[in-house]
Amino acid sequence: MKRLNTNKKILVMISLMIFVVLSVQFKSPKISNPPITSQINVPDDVAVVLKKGCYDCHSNESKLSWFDKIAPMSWIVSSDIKEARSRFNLSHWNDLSPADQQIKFWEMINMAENGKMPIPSYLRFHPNAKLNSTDIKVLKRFAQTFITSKVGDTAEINKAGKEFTNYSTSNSHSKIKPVSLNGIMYSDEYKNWKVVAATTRFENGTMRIIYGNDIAVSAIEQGKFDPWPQGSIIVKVVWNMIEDKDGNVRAGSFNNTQWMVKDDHKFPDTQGWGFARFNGINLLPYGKTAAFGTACFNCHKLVKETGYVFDLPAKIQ
Amino acid sequence: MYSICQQKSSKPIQQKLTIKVMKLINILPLLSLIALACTSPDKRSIFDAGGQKPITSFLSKKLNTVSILFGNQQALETAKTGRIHQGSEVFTLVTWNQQNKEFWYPALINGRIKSIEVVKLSLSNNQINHEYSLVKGPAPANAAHMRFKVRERINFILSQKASVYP
Repeated sequence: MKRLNTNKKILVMISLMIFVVLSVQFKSPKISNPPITSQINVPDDVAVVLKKGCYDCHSNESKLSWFDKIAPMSWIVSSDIKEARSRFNLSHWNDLSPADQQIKFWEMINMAENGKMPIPSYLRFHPNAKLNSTDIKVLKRFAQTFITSKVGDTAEINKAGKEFTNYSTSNSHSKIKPVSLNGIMYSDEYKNWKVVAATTRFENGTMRIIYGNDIAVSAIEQGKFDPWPQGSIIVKVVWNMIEDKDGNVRAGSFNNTQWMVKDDHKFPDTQGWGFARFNGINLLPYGKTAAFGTACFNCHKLVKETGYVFDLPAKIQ
Repeated sequence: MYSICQQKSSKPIQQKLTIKVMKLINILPLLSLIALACTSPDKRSIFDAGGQKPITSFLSKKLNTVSILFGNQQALETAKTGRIHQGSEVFTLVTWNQQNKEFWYPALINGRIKSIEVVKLSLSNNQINHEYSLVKGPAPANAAHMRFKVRERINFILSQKASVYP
């Protein structure tokens, strides 16, 4: 009699579970594939890699497994796809400007190379989507075609010449103090700070000098940057390159200055880092809304182990 | 097999212990190095320009180097305005080998310092004197390994214009 009661209880439990699972299916989101407006145009070998590792989430050609369509899994999948398509969509590739397309492509390579993409939670159920070193080489080889050196670029030489003429007759302090939408104000202070590193980006034709304030410099020298101390500020000054026929490259016109300010109270959503960029010699603040920092941070997540900072002095090889 | 066992067991216990202790002593430095590597913070070094500021930066694709020309306030002002040399300028040209930047392909970052050159200007009898010193590294050479003359280096360093800052 007792055993019969236990069996009955188990049966009721199972029935209840089946009922719940079936019921949530009615609430399960439908993951659709809207029309493709502008497919990314890449060579076949590159397309194969993108289809393998990126398309399920970053395109309108998501190929779902049967279990992806069953709630509660479908909720997670749906949310991931929505987020991924909002970041970039390989089926709406021309929504991005050619320059932004290249930026995204480099980001893809680095996310894949550093094991951040495809996201590990997705790979757990879709192990075939993992990009191996050969796949990444294919992406890199293709991306190398973006890099073009403009030897003796007359337009840039003229622009840099004009900027220098104005600069050489001005005083050394900026007359304007623009403020980024998140409250970070440009200041000339960094010109008195130590130089932390010099970086080169042939892929976008820029060269940079990176400065750190005393707090940041001390954190770097002591290896205490995880997390970075409050008040750390890192400023990157970016110039466009001018290259001669012998491969000598010098700083040309001023491009922008980029700021990272560590303030846990002001920027709690981005691990305490506030981001700002001031473009061109007139230091036009970047960003349409104060939330632009989230986009910066999404990329900086790649360097969690260095406290979300890319431009640390190198480990000497 | 039998003979080996016989040989092993024939060693006095004290001798065996001594060998074990010796082995341990031999690997102790290695063990402590490993322990240190596991616990020590990830310290990175920053070049100390001694209060001098960047005047400009440039790089050589052929040599895979990046350089920053630092200078004192007078040097900075001269490189910026193109005024005649005052005789109080100090320029420090630091050249690093470039290396791949961790976490971001295909960016490069300054790695090991290759050379440090200093040019000090002084004024005597209305004449500007140039003092060149190679503080660190081999004598700078071009991509064809031809060494520059000191006069060429001085002229090169003094001919640099300041990078434009906002």
